[in-house]
Parts: sequence; structure tokens; C-alpha cells
Amino acid sequence: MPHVLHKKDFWAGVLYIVFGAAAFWIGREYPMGTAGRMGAGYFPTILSVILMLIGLLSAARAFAQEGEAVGAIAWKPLAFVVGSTALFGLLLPSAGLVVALLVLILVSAAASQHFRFDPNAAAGLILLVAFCTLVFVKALGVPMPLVGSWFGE
Amino acid sequence: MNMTGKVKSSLTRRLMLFSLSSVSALLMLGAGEGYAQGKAPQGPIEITSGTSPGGTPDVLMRRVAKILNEEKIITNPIVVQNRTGGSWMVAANWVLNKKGDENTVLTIAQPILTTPITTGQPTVYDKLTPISMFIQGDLLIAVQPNSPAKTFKEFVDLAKQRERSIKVAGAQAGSTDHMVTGLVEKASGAKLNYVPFDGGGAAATAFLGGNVDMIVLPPSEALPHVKNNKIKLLAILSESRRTEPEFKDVPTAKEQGFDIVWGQSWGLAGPPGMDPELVKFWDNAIQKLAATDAWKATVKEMFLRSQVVNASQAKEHMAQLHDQHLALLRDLGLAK
Amino acid sequence: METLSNLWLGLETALTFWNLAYCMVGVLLGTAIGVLPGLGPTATIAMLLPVTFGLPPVSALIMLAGIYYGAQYGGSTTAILVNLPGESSSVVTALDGYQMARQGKAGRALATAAIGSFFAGTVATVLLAVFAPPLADLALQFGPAEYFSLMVLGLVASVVLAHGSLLHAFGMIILGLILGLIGTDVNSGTTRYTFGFPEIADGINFVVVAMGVFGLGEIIGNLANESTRTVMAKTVTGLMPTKDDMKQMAAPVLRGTVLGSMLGILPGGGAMLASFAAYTLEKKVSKHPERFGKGAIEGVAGPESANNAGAQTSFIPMLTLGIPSNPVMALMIGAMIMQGIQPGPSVMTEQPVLFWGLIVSMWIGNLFLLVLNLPLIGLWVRMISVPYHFLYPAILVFCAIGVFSLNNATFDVYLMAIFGFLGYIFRKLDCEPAPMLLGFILGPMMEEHLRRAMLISKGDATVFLSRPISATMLLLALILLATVLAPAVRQKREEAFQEEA
Repeated sequence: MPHVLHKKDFWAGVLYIVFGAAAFWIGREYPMGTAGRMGAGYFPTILSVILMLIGLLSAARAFAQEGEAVGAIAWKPLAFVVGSTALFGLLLPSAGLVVALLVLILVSAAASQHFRFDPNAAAGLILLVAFCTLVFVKALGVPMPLVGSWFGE
Repeated sequence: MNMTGKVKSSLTRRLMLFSLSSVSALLMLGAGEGYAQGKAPQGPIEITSGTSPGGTPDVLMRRVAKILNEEKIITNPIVVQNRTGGSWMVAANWVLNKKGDENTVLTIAQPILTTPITTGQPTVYDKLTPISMFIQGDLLIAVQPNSPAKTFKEFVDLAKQRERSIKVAGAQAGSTDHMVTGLVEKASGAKLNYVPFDGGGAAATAFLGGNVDMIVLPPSEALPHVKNNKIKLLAILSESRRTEPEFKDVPTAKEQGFDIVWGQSWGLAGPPGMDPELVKFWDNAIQKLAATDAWKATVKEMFLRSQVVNASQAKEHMAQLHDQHLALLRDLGLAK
Repeated sequence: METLSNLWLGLETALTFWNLAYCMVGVLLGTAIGVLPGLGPTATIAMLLPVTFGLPPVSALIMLAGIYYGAQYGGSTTAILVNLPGESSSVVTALDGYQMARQGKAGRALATAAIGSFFAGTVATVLLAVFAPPLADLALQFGPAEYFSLMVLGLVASVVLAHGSLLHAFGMIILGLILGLIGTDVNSGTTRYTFGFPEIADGINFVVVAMGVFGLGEIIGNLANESTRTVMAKTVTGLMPTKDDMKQMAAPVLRGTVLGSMLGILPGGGAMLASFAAYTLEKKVSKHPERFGKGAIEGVAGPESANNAGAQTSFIPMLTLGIPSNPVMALMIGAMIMQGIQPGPSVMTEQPVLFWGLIVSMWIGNLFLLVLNLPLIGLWVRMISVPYHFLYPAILVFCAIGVFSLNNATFDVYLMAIFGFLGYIFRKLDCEPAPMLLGFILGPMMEEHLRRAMLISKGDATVFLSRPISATMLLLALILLATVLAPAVRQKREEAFQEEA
């Protein structure tokens, strides 16, 4: 097997092919129609084929052209930032805004290597939660429970 | 002629059920229930709306909330909350999941009936607790001001000359505009070219730009264009003409020999298993609302009608509406 | 003469104490909320709409308009400071504005945006006052065929947004187009790629994608390099543009104003193309296109002017025809109906006080915006000098709440997390997200207009060439494509020659 010289191009190509193939596979159920009366599947099919071709081109180019390596994936920030956001969504209706915000802030902050206990940061945390409560819930009326269903009404 | 006869026999009969005369008949049966102050919700009330702020049902419900509070019919603060997405299904699911909740009611609009039909999902309306249907809107058939057709009949004859030669602009497939186009096709035997747009505003733009020949509009939206001589109104799709000077000369489709009666309607429903006492509370509030001058002014200003179908009839009324929509969407090949 | 007396009437209306106050409150509120990441003009207006219900109609609309351009400007501030475009038009502002901020030139970028916006706003207001009705008629010349060709031109232009590989620019555009297809197909009612979730049956909100790939993706990327490089330059150079900067931005501001004013009039998504078009134009006319994406001041001045000019002229179809040209205008129409005014051509003749008062107030609002924001620049700059590990959790909080408030649904928060993951992967693979976002915005419109045009022409594809406006735009797209591809092809050939030699 020839050597992959441009790792980034290769994986980007794989990504395009995966997305294109998925779009094509799901989209095959949608009716194609004709050029005059296009169906729901006309545009998606064309686009997914083009995306797969671009993916092939990108992956093929990776064997001919030298390029950078992808580099290590920053698993910790990735997991903490994405995870804390999802946790916020999960906790908002059940535990309420205050708890959800605390979890979001603390978990995401833990992704940084500078994360440690600091009285200033703690004060900032309280201020931020208070600000969100006042501005979004009280003033703007965004329907978020301050205290969620876990803690009763 | 054969076609017209066939249509008359099946579909339009059922559609006539929607007509305002039968609504008022229902109203007579249920009116005049007086009762003592029963159970009332505690704390703020949410009216869930499936459109973004500014959409017709949203505007209507905000007016309803304002009048209910201002006239002290309901003293709890009422908030209209927009939960958009999925052609009202996000709003509907929100309320469906609030079984027995006392502080949430759902705005009922036609998508609550039609979205499950066109997407093949289980029906929604029959799982809710009906409260009241109390706002109705008329629809008008409008064409370009330079159209050679002077009456609806002439327009239909024109459309029949060449299949799909008349282009109709409207909102997305399965919308009210689309259904009305289907009704016109069925009642006249003409074949129209329906061009769906992303919402009524975009359709109106295309119409004003002369890109299409026909459009379906509610009176309030048609009025500015009528004044500016940008459209010609051929028919109103209600049982009777409107009485305002702006619209009294627009004949009904029925008068012109086409049995097409269709309109929009809005109301309220509670979550599944709503306490009958609370239904009574709301029912009572809506009837009081309908009697206020502020509400009458709103209805007049927005060129709507307000016939209250109260809680005892609302269930049956919604079922009828559902069946009409189902039948029509099936005929249009849009039911899944 | 008539225009003058109308403007006088407008001045009389807009300069009353209360209307001035409402205009200022609107601009202030709009800026304050629009500057929070994740809250663009649409969300801000939707939230603040109920506040205006109690006011008289003229004051309510003046305040709403103030909220609108305040939020628009606030959104640009966030785009520049923390790379978070709260709406489609500030995506391109983020490209060079954020780079300027990282180089310690945040103040200069913000001032450029403020000055450019003010100039563009002034010109567009005059246009609105003098030419509103004929311009509206012009806008109606755009049918589905013209819009499709405009979208094609827009997509080709978006290739220019990328400063890396062309192939990846195309790939990301197509990926964006496919993501844009998610939701209900307007033409047939079929739901596509929704996996049965009703929450995305109307499509994914732009803000969710932007906050995910830009916001979360950026944060993860910065954290990954935390030990090797600082996010923000330590030294801040100048809060105000230098004389040199002013000279550099003059022409882009003018070009942006013209482009934005023209595109803003088109009701079918013209305004959102304005800033993209301006960026493309600047990069194409620049002698040093390689500076773009690395902190070019023209890349802020042009799009910001275009954006603000477009925001003003997008009132034209709303006020003269009653047609909403974007979600914000749809909200404005809702507000008018709420106030008992039926928007449409009659507003101008039947409600002259409202019409002219609103127009004059727009200029006053723009002035407020300038006066308010120039002094604030120092504060913003100090804010981003807060250590990044304190700043990013706060950004994340605003993103999460902002995205939640779009539909009041946690579903969008989860989606944002997914797009954050994708955003990081794209960064790792050097796939730029800006072209993807443009594809995402244009995709659904392009498909709809194409299918509509074909329905109207009954399957005759020559409509795109037989209608002059459409044909012109396709020709422009072709020329642009050629100029984009030519350097790449030449480079390839040179490389080939070198290898042979």
C-alpha cells in the first residue's frame, strides 16, 4: 500500500466520503422526480455524489502530495467542553438553571491547565450565575426553571 | 360539468361542516351556561404557540392574553411562549408531555391537525383536552390586476384552456394555500400549477413581482394590495360575504357556482387529562373574552370572525375539522 | 421638495423627547443583549418584542428598529472579540476582525466597524428616504430564476472566503449545503435527514451551527494549544484607527455601502449575502489578498459597512410592500400588526408620521450607536484581556443559554455540542468552517428557488439564461470562478514544470 503523505487531506477526504455516503444512503428513499418537477431526493443525491467525489479527490491527493500530520487530538478539552455543554442541556429541565450553570462552568473550566481553586474565580462564578438569573430569567423571561423538578416545585 | 357534480357529492359536503352557520348552530346549543366560581389555576399561565413572535396565531394569542388580563377575566399573569419547530409539533409535544398540568394551554391551529397527517405521525388533537375554538379567518382568491378574468368563473375557464398554465403561489406543500388550490382544482376540474414558497410572505413577493398568476390570502393581508391596485379579488371562500366596505363586493365562490368553503380557525386546548373544573374555568374565560369590546375591536381590525365553539362542543368540532383536513389531504395525495 | 417636507415631518416625530428616549433605550438594550454571544438580532428582538407592546406605535417601532441595529452592531462586537458570529452577516466580520483582536488590534477593529457602519447607515437612510418606492419595485423584478442565479454567485463567492485549499473550500460548501437540507422540504413536504426528531423538522437554526463550529470549536482548539501559545496578544495597540487605517478603510467602506444597500433591498435573502459579497469584493480587488483571514482591516470595514447598509435598506420591502425580507423584518411586521397597523404600501400614505419618523430615527439611532460604542471600545478591549481560562467558561455559558432561548429547547444545546465536536475535527483537518456556513445558509434557498423556477418554466432550464438579470449573474459567477481557479491552476503548472526541471 502506498504511503499517505498528507494525513490531513486523507482524513478530510474520509470525512467527506462518510458524510456524502450517509447523505446518499438516507436520501435514496426520497423521490427523485424529473428536472421539471424535482422531487425531494434530486438535490440531496446530486450533492452527496459531488461530496463523495471531492472526498475521493482529497484522499487521492494525500498520496501524491506531502503535508502536515494531523497531530494529537486534545481529548481532555474536547471531552470536557462538549461534555459540559451536553450536561447543561441535560440538567437544565431537571436540576434547574443554577445547578446546570455551576456544572457547565466548573466542568468546562476543569479543561484548562490553569484550573485550580481561586477566590477571585469563585466570586466570578457567583456573579455570572447571578447575572444569568437576573438578565435571562427575570428580565428577558426565557423559560428556564431556576430550581428544577428534582427539588420539587 | 361531470367533475363538478362528483366533487359536490363527496368532499364539499363534508367541508360545509366547517361553515360558520353550523358553528353558530353549535354555539346556540352550548351557550348560556352560568355557574359558580370553580377551580382556577395558581400562578402564571403559559399559552404555548408554535409560531415565532409575530405569526398570526401568536399575535392573536398575545391579544387574547392582554385582554384577559386587562379586563381582569383571568388575574394570573399570562405569558405567550413560542416553542417553534416541526410545524407546531414541538409546541404540541411540549403540552402533550404536561399531562395534568394546570398552568399550560396550547394554541390550536390547523398544523396541529395537518402535520400528523402529512408526516404520518399519530394524531395529536384527540390526546389534548379541547377547550374552545373561537377565532375563524376567511380566505380570498386573488389574481393579477391585469388578468383577463373578471370573475372566478372566467378564471376557471381560463385555467381549463391549458393544463397547469395558471401558476399559484403559496406556502409549503400541505399548507392551507395548497389545500385551497386542491379544492379549486376539484371543484372546477382545472389543473393548476402550484408553486410552493417558504412561507406566505415569500409567496406574496413572487405574486407582486408578477411571477405567478394566483394567490390565496386572508383579508387583512390582501387589503393593502387591494388599495394599491396590485391584486384583483375574485372570490371569498366563506359561506357568506364579509360586510366591511372593502370586501362587501367580493362574491363568495358559492354564489359563483363553485362549492368551495374553506377557512382558518384557531382556539385553545389543555394538556391531556386536564381537570374538568379547569376546562370550565377556561371555557368561561373565553366566553367572557368574546363579549368584551376590546376583543370585538381586535376581530374587526384583523378582519377575522369570532364564533365561540365552547368546551362541550369543541371535541366534536375538532374531530370534524380533522376529518375534513384528512379527506382533503388524502385527495391531494399528501396524507401519509 | 416633497421629500424635504416629509423629512421635516420625520424630524419632528423622531426628535420628540420620548421618541429620542425610546430610540436610545432600544439601541442600548439591543447592543447590551446583542453583544452576548449566541444572541443575534433575531433572538434579541424576539425576546424584547413584548416590551414594546405597551408603547404607542411610532415609539414601539422606533425602539424595535433601535434594538435591531443595536443588536446587529453588538453581534459584530462579539464576532470580533471572541470569534462568535451571532448571525449570518457577522461570519465574515469574525474572519479578519478576530485575527486583528488576537494581534492586539481589537480596538482598531471595533472602531473600524463602528465608523464604517455609521457611514453606511447614513447613506442607506438617505436612499430609503428618497428612493424607497422605486427601489421596492426594482426588488420585485427578482423572481425565482434571478434568486437562484444570485445564490450561485453567492456560493462561488464563498470559495473566496477560504484562505487555504480550494478543494476543501468546495468540500465544506457542499457539506454545508447538505446540512442545510435537513428539515422539511418546502416543495413536497417531505422531511429529510431529521431522524424522526420534530425539533429539526424546520431545519437546524443557523446560530446552533455557528456557535458550535465557531464557538465551541474555537474554545477546544485554544485549550489544546494552551501551553504553547497565548490566545490574545498581551500588548494592545491603539483603540482608534490610525491615519493609515483610515486611508485603508475609506474605499472598502464606500464599496461595502453600495453593495449592501443594493443587496439589502432584495427580499429573498439579499441582505444576508451583503457582507459575504463585500468580503469577496475586497479580497478580489486587494493587491495583497494573502493578508485576508490574517487580520486585514479591509476585511472588517467592507463587510461591516455592507452589513449595516443592508440592514437599513431591508426595511424598504417591509415598509413599502409589507414583505418580510428576513426573520427580523417578519418580527417587525408582527409588531406592526400587534399595534393595529397593517404593513403594506398604504403605510407610507396613511401613516406618514410613522413612516418618516421611523426613517429619521434610524439615522439618529446610528448616531447613538456611534456615540455609545466608541467610548465602550476601551471597556471591551479590557474585557478580552481577562485571562482566557476565566473568559471561556463565561462564553460557553452565554452560548448555551443563547442557543436554548432560540426555541426554548434543550435539543438545540445538544446539537450545539455535536457541532462543537465537528468544529474541532474540521480545525484539526484544516477544513475552514466559514464556507460551510455560507453553504448552510444558501443551500435551502438555492434548492427552493431552483425548483420553483423550474416549476414556473415547466422544466425549461433556459429561463436562467433568457432572463437578463439572471444571465448577468451567472456570467459574473463564471468570471469569478475563473479568477479563483486560474491562480491555482497556474501554481500547479509551475510546480509541474519545476519537477520536470
